[in-house]
Amino acid sequence: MATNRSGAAQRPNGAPQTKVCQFKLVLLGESAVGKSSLVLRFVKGQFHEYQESTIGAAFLTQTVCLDDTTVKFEIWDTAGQERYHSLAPMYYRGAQAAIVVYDITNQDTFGRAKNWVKELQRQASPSIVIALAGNKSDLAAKRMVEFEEAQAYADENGLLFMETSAKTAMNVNDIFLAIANKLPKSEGAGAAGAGGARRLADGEQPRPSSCCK
Amino acid sequence: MATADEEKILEGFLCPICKADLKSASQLTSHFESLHQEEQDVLRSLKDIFGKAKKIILNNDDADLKETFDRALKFSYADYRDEEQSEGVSRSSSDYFKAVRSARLERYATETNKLLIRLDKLVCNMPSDPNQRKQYEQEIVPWLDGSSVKLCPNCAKAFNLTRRKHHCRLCGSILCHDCSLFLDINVARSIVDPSAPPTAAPADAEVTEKTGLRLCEHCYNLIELRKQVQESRNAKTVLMTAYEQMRSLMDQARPAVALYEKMCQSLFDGETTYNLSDVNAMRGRIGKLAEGIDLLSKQIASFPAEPGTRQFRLQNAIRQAAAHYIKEDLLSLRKLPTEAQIDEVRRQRYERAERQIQMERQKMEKERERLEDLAGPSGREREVANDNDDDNPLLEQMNIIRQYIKEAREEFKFEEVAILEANLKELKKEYHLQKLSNKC
Repeated sequence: MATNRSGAAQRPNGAPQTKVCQFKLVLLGESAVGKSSLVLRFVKGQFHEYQESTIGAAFLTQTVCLDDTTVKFEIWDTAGQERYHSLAPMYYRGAQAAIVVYDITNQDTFGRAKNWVKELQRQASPSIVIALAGNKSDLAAKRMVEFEEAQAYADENGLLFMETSAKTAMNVNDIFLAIANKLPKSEGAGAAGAGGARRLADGEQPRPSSCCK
Repeated sequence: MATADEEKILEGFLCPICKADLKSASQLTSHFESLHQEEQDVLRSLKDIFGKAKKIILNNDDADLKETFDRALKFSYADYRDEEQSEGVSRSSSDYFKAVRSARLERYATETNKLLIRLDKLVCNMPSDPNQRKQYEQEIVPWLDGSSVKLCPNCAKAFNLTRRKHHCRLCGSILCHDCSLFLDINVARSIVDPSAPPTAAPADAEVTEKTGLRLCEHCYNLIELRKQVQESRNAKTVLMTAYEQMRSLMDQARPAVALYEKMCQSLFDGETTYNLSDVNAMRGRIGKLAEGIDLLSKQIASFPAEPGTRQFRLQNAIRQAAAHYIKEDLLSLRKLPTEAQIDEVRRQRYERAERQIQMERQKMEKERERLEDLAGPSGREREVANDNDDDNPLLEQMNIIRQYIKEAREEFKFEEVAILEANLKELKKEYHLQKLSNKC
């Protein structure tokens, strides 16, 4: 796969078909629930005990490989502070996926997460894939939001749900993978609406990730 | 699986489309709204089309191509009709509009007020000497220092020997002569003090530096606007002027009618204060007034107005009131006696008076005879001496009064005539008594 150019799918020579899809993913949630930590863990495998508060939004990319597809995530990690709330629509508009994060040790952040879900359902593209992440699961001793409660809410609203820990890396890659799997990657789905993956133009080649070597 | 990307993490107020860091939330919002709002939707559909087109060109799949273009270009409404369409969020912007407008109006109002205050200071106590005046003007409005101004800020022409720098007398800014406008000082006075009667300056006379204030276009426009507002507030409608004219005619008619009645009565009483021709002239005058009132009220009634509106009703009411007034007060005048009747009345009166005089004279004769018997004939001589006394002051006065009466009559001042006639009568009586006493 390492030698296989990612543009292969568009070649008429009948080479192995590996689709490269690019998705826009946005992280939403109350301030200090661990959005940036989740992304940092996913993208760089790092964790900082004292992660600074995000200003505006952060942009990162990460590529994951599925069976027959390479998925490139364009990740928009938004700032959770209320004063940046008005910027959020700009980022989730046109996003194919969203991770709404809450802190399992803080009931308020769960309520805020529900509001984010509601807002996404109303304002974002109708086919957006929403995942709910209950972060800081390493602090289960101080748990304030029950797993079952969140699971029930997620089921009701058709959300992906996992409890994650950026500190221990628990479920971090899994939730991104689950999203990647759920995203429509067929060309038909891509053309139909905003939820579809964007095909890469020829000049825009994602780096082959290590898993595909 | 997922590995660390070597790319640097971008953070800040990033544009979701072009990833530029805009430094602040508001800048980001405006950047996004101005550059990317529409782009987002268009971009997506274009990408679809181009992606398809590329694939199809490579695969030579015509049917698929056609279908894709159809779908992309049609923007079919049918797709949307299925969904329940809600009206969406709407909000009233009138409050915002009002806020913006009132701020704007307030700015103009305060600016105009400032200019008016300055104008007021300028025009009152303005020295007539040009040098003093210049100094006075600068005291009230500090003039801009023009040393660094090389071009006229209005027309951008360079100042030189022939194009001198001038100053707006209200804001102190610099301008050239061609860009200056002049406000006549008399006009300025009437703007500052609306109660003063506006002195009508000859319209064709050019307002120059001597008779006017040099202003820049901006100040001139503000002042001019203010003047127009003032004028429009004081302006009378055609209807109002017509009504006022009518009222003044009515005011003239009322004393005229009263006087006519008096004159008429005095004629019937056989008094000689007024002539028949006097009274007739008076009647003619009242008739003319009535005619004028009638004409004006008809004019008022015929002003165009929507039937049923208050204005329409008012106009009709004015006309009716005027017609009523003319009929009741001006045309129902007492008929004048004929010449013969007057003569008859006068004759009777004269005879009555004669008889009375006769009686008095007889009484006096008797008295005198009684006195003469006592005093002898000495009194006769005195009477002769006094009889041809032409420069008797009483006679002189009576002549003057007669002259006055004649003049007053010519000018239709019948009230004066009446007063003068009464005066004349008194004089006559006095003279009579004097004569009698002289005889005695």
